[in-house]
Amino acid sequence: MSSIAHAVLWTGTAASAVDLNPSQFGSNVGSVALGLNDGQEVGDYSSQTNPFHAVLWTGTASSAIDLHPSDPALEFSEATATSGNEQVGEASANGGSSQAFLWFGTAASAVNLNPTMLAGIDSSIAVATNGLQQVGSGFDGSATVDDDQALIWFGTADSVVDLQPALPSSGAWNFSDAYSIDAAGNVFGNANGTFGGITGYFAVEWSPVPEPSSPLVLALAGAITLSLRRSRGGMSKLHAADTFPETT
Amino acid sequence: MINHFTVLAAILLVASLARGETYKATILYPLMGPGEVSIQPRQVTADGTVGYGPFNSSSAPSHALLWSPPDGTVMDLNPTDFGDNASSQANGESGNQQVGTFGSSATGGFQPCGALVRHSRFRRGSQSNATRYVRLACTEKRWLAAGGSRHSWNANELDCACRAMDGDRRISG
Repeated sequence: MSSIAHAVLWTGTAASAVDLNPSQFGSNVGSVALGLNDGQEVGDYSSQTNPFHAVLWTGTASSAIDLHPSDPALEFSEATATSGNEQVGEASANGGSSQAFLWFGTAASAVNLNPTMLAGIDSSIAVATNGLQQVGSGFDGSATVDDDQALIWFGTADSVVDLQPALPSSGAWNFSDAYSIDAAGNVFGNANGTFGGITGYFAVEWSPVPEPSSPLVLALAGAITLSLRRSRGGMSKLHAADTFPETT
Repeated sequence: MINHFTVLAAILLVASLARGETYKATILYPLMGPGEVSIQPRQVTADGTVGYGPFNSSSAPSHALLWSPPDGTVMDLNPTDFGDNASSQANGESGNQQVGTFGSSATGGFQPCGALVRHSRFRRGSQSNATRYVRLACTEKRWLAAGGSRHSWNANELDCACRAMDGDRRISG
């Protein structure tokens, strides 16, 4: 009896099951599907030669694309969510901590999202994307207590924003995780701590604060531009008069 | 006199710093268990939160739980058709549907392996010697990869298949 799992796609009934296992990738191939959206499915597969590689499907086993990053130091990878033309997940070296990854449909497109400039965070996972932004968690890979911090990325490692500091300052927070993001960029997750006299988990929504650029900065920029124009206009007239005197 | 270009540069700098990278967090509702028990959230969306926890007492079997906005009212999703000792765990949700795993004495037990795949909370605790990545997985090969100790793999772990859904399509492995 085989104990190798196969990724499966259903459309509401048992009879609709489609075996997604990418047997073309080698011998003893097994696979797991972890997420789907927009006609794409993601997960990982393993074979005798590849321990765990992130994989992208479009409804059939033959459509499978191996997303594993080319970095030889990375031995494992898996894709956990997809939206639009983006896939997110994680990769790691053997025995190493997770590093959040973003793909655009191919292995060559892999972007390492692991934060490098957040204090206390050297590892990460990405678990959801809305097609433009990616969310997940960052943590200290050597910590012995849960220290996850909810993160959002805008496509690159340097773009990461730590969402935990945005939690209400009236609470005392231990850790947080971001689990989903909607089309408007609202992030949903949970935080653990004490808030309002209650200690435990709380459902949290992180909403982007409207850019001051909308009314305020644009108004200021407009005022500056107008001021510059007036100033330049005066100078231009002066220079024109100096340089190109009217001839009659 | 202030240089206009300096002022403009400062404005643009402020604007760029503020470009969608500031967030306000709103505590939606507490995730309380049924009784004084410790619960574990697994997925949070605008539709609600799913997870699991021992029902009513810390030693009771785990039950799949659903917390609904706006106040976080908790609902017990544990299946009632599979025996008194059934355990369950909710791992994902979309709209008014939730997915997860269940087990009972009739199915040979319950392994909450589905949660190992998508979320991080299990990377410590009872599996503290395993690497984070391996703890995110649920098949025999993954546990072997953890460092040589063979995990007892059984048919119930196939239950960790069904954990994500989108509309009327369900995906598993």
